[in-house]
Amino acid sequence: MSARLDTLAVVEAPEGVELSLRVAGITARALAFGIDLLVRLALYSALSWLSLFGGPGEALLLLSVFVVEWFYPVLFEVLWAGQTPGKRVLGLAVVRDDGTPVGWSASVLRNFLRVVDFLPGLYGAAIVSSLLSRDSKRIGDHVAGTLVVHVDGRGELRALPAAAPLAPPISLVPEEQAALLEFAARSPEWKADRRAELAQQLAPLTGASGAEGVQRALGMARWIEGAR
Amino acid sequence: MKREPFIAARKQRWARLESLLAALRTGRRDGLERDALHELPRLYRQACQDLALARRRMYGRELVQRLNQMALRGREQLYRPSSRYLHEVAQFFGVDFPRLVREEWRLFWICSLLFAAPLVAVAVTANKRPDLLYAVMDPESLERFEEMYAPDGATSSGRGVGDNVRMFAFYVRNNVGIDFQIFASGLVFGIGSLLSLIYNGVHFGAVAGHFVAIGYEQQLFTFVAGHSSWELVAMVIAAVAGMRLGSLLVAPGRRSRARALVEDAPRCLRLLLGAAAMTFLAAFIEGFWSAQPLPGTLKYVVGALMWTLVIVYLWLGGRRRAA
Repeated sequence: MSARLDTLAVVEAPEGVELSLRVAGITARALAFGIDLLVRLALYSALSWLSLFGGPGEALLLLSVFVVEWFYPVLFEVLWAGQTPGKRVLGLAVVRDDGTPVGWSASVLRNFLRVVDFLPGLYGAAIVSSLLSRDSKRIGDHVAGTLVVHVDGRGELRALPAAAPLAPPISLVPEEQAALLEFAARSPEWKADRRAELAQQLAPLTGASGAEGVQRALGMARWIEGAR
Repeated sequence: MKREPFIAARKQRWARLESLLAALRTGRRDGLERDALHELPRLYRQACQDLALARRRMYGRELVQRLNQMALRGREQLYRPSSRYLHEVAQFFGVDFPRLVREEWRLFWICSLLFAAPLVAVAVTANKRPDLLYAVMDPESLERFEEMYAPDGATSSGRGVGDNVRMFAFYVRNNVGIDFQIFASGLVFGIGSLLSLIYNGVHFGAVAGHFVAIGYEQQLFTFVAGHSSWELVAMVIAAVAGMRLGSLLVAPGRRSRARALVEDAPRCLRLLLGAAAMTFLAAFIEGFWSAQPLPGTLKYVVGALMWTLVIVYLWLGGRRRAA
């Protein structure tokens, strides 16, 4: 239900249950890429010392550069639970569309196709593609059938803001209950004005406006969550 | 059932599952009893069921999130792709790869033609009208090539073991990188692969034509004889893989384009990986054999052998077990 309101990707497990994945947006992914870029630059400069050892050293250097160039993300994603260092810092991971871990084939596909995603320069194609896609997939993700998702619990399990539990005057359908819960969960992120403005839409339900409306909406959310 | 008794009845089970998953995730399994892992599938299925119930009965965001997380982690562990590397590698190179190439025989010949035609045309032109050469190559890179193949043999005989390794590494990075690029650019409706293929044909043709024109042909041909088979054919196969990838967008058949890509892109990738392995082999030969100061006849014989080997491999490889 919240899938339509939110950037959740819902996958159905063979066990007959729907699992929701929190898809990562373009900003988080760009930041992760930036960190990886720095890591790679550090790797290159660390490796450049190899060239001091003459022919064999240079050979090793070239081979390492080749590996870093093409396989840096692949190796990390496959061997490190879908995370490159940048993704780990930001709590992102690559998974397949059905939520299972990426294997070699999917990871190689999505990373080699960076060549196309980079066109016509500075990841232009990737940006357009992920802005157009519901799950903010770049071209490589579409082809490989992969998603980049948030894996850490950060910002997920906050307790609802304190408010006296209040029974809603009418019985609410599940979608409405979910909307109230989401409102309550996110309300600490907004300024008081914005909270009041949004709660205004609930005036028919709460029978109040302004700060009092907000408090009542929060109370109903607590009540739905089971507080009495 | 109310929320609290629901949680109380399952608390232990969840804690058990969570500790199992944590142990599996960090790879530290020493703390687990021997049969602990056998519990995982059951615990996971129960967690899935609990998740469905908790969601349906609106037991609250927190609980649903926790169960969702548990189910995701469990799924991650249970549905991991299998890993029998060695067997798979042998199966791939022995059987699957040559078959894949034969399945794409039409594209293979089209790409070969698209590569060979500009090569020959430019080589002949460059031989007759050397001035036209500079239309496709800049003078500096030509000079570099000339130094590499100078008939006095300073470069080839003066190379030590370290240099051979270095050249091998250089060829790997350069040539395998070219394969990857030819493939990936194919996603642009196949046009990228097509252009790269023609470009490389023109490039090789220009170099070859130029060297024949200035009388270095002996140097050039003895050098390339050994590795050319693997390298050139691999380049064509990389283009085949790229064109096939592009064709999934141009003509997806009775599927959506996205579906066609998800279903068939792995097949294209397998073609590319085979090609990359061939190029790797070529780089090995190029680094350690091609520059050895050995009689030209020997080099031509080895070159002919290599071409035969490539043809026999791709033509007959994996046929016997097909019956």
